Amino acid sequence: MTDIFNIAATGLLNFQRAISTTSHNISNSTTEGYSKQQVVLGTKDPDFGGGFFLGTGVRINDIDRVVDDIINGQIQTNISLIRENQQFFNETTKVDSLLSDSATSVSATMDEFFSALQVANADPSNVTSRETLLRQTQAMVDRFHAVDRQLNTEISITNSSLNSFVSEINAISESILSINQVITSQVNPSPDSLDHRDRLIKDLAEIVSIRTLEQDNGSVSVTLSNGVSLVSGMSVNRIEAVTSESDSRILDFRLVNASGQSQLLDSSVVTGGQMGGLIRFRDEIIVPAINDLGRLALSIGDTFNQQHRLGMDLGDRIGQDYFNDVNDPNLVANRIFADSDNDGAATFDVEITTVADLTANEYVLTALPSAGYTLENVQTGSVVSFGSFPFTYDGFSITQTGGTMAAGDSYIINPTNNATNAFSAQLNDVNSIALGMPIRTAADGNNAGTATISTGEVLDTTNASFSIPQQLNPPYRVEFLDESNYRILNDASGAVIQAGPVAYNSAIVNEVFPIPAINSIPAQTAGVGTLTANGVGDLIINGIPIIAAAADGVSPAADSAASAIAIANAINNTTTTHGVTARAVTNEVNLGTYTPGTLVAGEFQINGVNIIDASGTQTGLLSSINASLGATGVSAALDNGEIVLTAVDGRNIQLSSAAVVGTANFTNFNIGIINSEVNRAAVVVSDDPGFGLGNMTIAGGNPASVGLVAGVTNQIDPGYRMSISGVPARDDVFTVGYNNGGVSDNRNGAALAGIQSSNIFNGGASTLNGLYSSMVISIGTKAYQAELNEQTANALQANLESRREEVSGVNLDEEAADLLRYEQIYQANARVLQTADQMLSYLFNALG
Amino acid sequence: MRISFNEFYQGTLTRILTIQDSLNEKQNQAASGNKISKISDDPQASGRIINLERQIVQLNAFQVNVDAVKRHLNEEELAIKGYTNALNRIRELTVGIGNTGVLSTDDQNALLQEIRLIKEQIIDISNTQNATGEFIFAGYQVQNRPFNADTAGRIEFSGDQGQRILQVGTDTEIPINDSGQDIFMDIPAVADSFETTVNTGNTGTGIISRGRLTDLATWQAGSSETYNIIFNPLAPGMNFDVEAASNPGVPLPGFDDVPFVAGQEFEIEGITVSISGSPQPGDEFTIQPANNLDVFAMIDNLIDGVGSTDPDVQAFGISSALDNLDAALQRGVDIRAEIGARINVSEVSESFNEDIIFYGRESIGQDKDVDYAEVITDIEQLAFALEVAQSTFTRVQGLSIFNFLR
Repeated sequence: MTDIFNIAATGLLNFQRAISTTSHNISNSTTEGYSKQQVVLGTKDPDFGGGFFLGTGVRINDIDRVVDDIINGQIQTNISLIRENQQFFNETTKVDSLLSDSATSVSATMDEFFSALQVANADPSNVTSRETLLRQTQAMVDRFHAVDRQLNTEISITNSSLNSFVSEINAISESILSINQVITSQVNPSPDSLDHRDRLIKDLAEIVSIRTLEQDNGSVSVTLSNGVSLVSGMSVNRIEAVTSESDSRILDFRLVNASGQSQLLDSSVVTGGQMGGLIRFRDEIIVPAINDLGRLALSIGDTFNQQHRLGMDLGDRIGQDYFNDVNDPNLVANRIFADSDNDGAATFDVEITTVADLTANEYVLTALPSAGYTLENVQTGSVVSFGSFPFTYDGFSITQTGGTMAAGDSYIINPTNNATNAFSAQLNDVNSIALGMPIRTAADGNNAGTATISTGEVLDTTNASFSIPQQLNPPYRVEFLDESNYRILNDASGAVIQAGPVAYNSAIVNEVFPIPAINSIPAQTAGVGTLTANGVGDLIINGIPIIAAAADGVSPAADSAASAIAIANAINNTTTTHGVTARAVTNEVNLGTYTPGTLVAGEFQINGVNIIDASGTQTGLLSSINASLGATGVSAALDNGEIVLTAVDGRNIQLSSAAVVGTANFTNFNIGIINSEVNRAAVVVSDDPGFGLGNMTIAGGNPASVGLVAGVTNQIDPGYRMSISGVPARDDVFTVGYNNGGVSDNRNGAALAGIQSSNIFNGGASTLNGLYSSMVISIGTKAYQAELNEQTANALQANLESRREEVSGVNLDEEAADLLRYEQIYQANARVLQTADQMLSYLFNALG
Repeated sequence: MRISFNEFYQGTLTRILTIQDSLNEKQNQAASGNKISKISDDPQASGRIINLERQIVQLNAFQVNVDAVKRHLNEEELAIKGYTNALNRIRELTVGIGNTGVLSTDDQNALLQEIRLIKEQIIDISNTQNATGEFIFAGYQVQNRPFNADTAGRIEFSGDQGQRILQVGTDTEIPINDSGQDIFMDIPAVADSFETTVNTGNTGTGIISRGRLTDLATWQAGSSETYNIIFNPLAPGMNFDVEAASNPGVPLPGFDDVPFVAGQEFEIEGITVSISGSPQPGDEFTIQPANNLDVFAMIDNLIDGVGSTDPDVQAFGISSALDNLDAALQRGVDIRAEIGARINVSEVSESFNEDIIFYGRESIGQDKDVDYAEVITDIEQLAFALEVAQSTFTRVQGLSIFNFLR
């Protein structure tokens, strides 16, 4: 009988618990991350008595969470993706609007600046339009600064967000650790703690992408996506945000373990989640945008300055810098940052050399272990090696200013660093805007011919021509002696500069005055020489000694003298920066009168190749030579009935014969071949007249040995160009002088305005506005992609959440049914108790 | 499928919120009229829009230039018109003189007086200033009066040949001024014209008079020759030689060591000149045949010719003046024609620019502007969907067993 009481009691007790679980479910039906709990019932161990087992009632085996770990894992991964893209999109959109809205865009002020320039060009002497131009200049510079400031503010905001994310990560890691400790200490961990831990993991995944692994003892280890451990076993590694060594504006992260040791986390480790999105925003949007803006400021500033310096202002002065000098001493040293692990203490200046070739990228300069250096473009990964400083690449130059660089030392170079901040307008006097050009050309009033002179083009106002203020030094006067010859005089003194007569070849185009007098330019042919391999000082071109190798690899070497190819290579390798180039030209070899006869192996070689001919005819011999010599670069042809040898690349031609001239074995030609004879090629040296100050100086101990005439090509570049074309008549005069009083000249202004549409930037691929719009569009496109990614991930998330709810969520109808069911069973158990009680009372009554 | 309590509410709520979000976006579009409010809304279209807007800004700058071009050229055209009218009047007077044959001294003087006045008028025209005070025929040096008489009465041009050029189209540039040198100075002159010059490099202040023809036959006989008046560098007092350029070192007969008297006239091979001021030893002056003359010299020659007592010189003065005036007129007409052509080109550019701006705006509109019919239809649909979602939500959420547990 007591069994029945006990059995009913287990029922009453356990279904009370079941009802309480149901009510726990009901009351937590909206709790975030709550998993439906269910009571797992089982029979109690039976009693054995009377030869059989008798049941003893019900018991609760377990109270379970209903979870699907796979779905939870997917949710955790996906939430990182969503948060990353959300964060990235939200932040990027702000910048996107800042850069593209015409009220805040740099581009709009650039347009207004160039429009003001156009207006000033229409009336160059009008002070009002010049004032407007200066105001628009300042407005543009201010806008550059405002946008730059805003972008830098974004970095600070990003930094403080990153700091708070780091604290959150550390706090969550600690919480996970403490739950781990509780769970591992219990046999049956409470479902609510497990839920709590899952929720923490999900919270962490929202901040940064993580991986989790459940251990056998029930604890969970958490790592960053690439395996760096945050929570492992019973310890936590903290993350710390520190100022980056390579860029003081941004934060790097370090991992600090329990005993305080720390290591720098690679930037690829902290990814995903809000933090990953923020870092991507910083690295893909903000920092490039700041660099892009810097490049734009450098581009507009330097290009404008260079053109402005070629102009003349209202006071007849040569133009000054319009914007700040891009290579200001304060700037050049701040474009390069030493790595803190460097052993050496070298210091460098980074100067902008060709702003059009500049990228918005960063570079790493590294000293190689043995000798030499490499420069790597961080964004594209392309690497270039070089041997010494100064080194010029991608529009900037690196010059060592002190110290030494130890092997393995590295530096980060950011050519656009601080460029926007330093961007400033230098002119504040309207009269100093150089819209005119310092020269003007004129045709004399009494000219009878139809020749005209161009308005000219100024290339370099630091030239001696402009050394005296408000004068052209000297002013030139071209006088035609007849319609095809002219001479050049000083227009002020009447002194003859070049008596001539200089031939006028239908047009003088971009002439450099006076015409070179000593060496024949453009081409000077050198003869056969003995410029030896170690012949230092034999030949010096523009002060650079030419040292040629003895062999060039293709020419047959007969003596220690350098070949023409080797000399040309040596010249080209050392003097191209002076505009001097050289090439080798083979001297043709005429084999002379042909006498019919056969040739067998060993009788006659050209460049070491045996010529064999059995035909005994001249045409047969010709085809034999061409057939044998194909690989040596030498070819033969008939010229005036004689065989002539030539070579395409300027190599020497060597004829050799085992036989002595006139012997029976070698009678085919009447040339005197002495055992081995090298016909040397010639070197042609030329100087590009359009190349800067195009003087070519040939000197050295023995330039005549290579057939060059020592001396200076008497060529003067006046720093400007002009052309005379058409048919002149005798006594026609053309002059070029300083443009004094030329207040209404807008030629330089037009050239300045032309900068707006000139397609020279980004290595010739872009205009100024193109630089800006491609930056804005690339940011917009990234934001767009992030939005798409977020939408995709959101759709997936909705699906995953609903699957999780499907498994783990609480359905109230289900709970209502359970409640009714458990109530009924509770009632039935109560009934059992009552029945047992009655049974007992029957018994007592019977006894009583 | 099991639907949890959470899922039921959350899912329905999410759907309602999504519809509201879309509805909000469409309402914004309808209110602003823009499909694109930031670049990430449609990066491709934004790229097109940015480029088109840039093009339009540039074209608008060209349009501003077109106005400036027309303003400047119209001013110049008016001046040139006045100039050709003046030349025509001189021509009429000259023809009149030629036809009359015999003129009384009074008539002659009256005519010469009128011609002198017209010459002054032409000088005024050549020094025309525009509204901002620029001398429009001075080339680049617009702040200096370009045409001034020197002490010998010669009109000198002190401007230059600079042309200001404005861009009115992507590839179209138009000069907006012409140098006075082209219009008034370098006019092809009839044969047997001459000019006198002061050599560059002279150290003294001596200046030679314009010179006038006094013996036609003699001058014509040797008119292709250049004569140099050379102040003797070695001789103690100031005296000069005159040499033919083709025969240097040999003074012309009667012109060896001539004592210098400032302002005294002397005749060299039919041309009478004088030298005034203070020449220095070694200074040179030249009388040479002229290919081109300035219009002022042409008029002066006419005045000299008409005033001459030598009938040959007078006849030559009148006939050469007619040819010279024709050449000057022709130059004026040519310049006017060119100005007209430039105005035409600028107007063609203007309307071309306008077209491009128009089509640019239109295609920006296609990318950017909202299609209201579409947006309003979308809004209607979304509003309907929202109502349905809301009403089903309230209907369905009452369906719970708990509602029936009493």
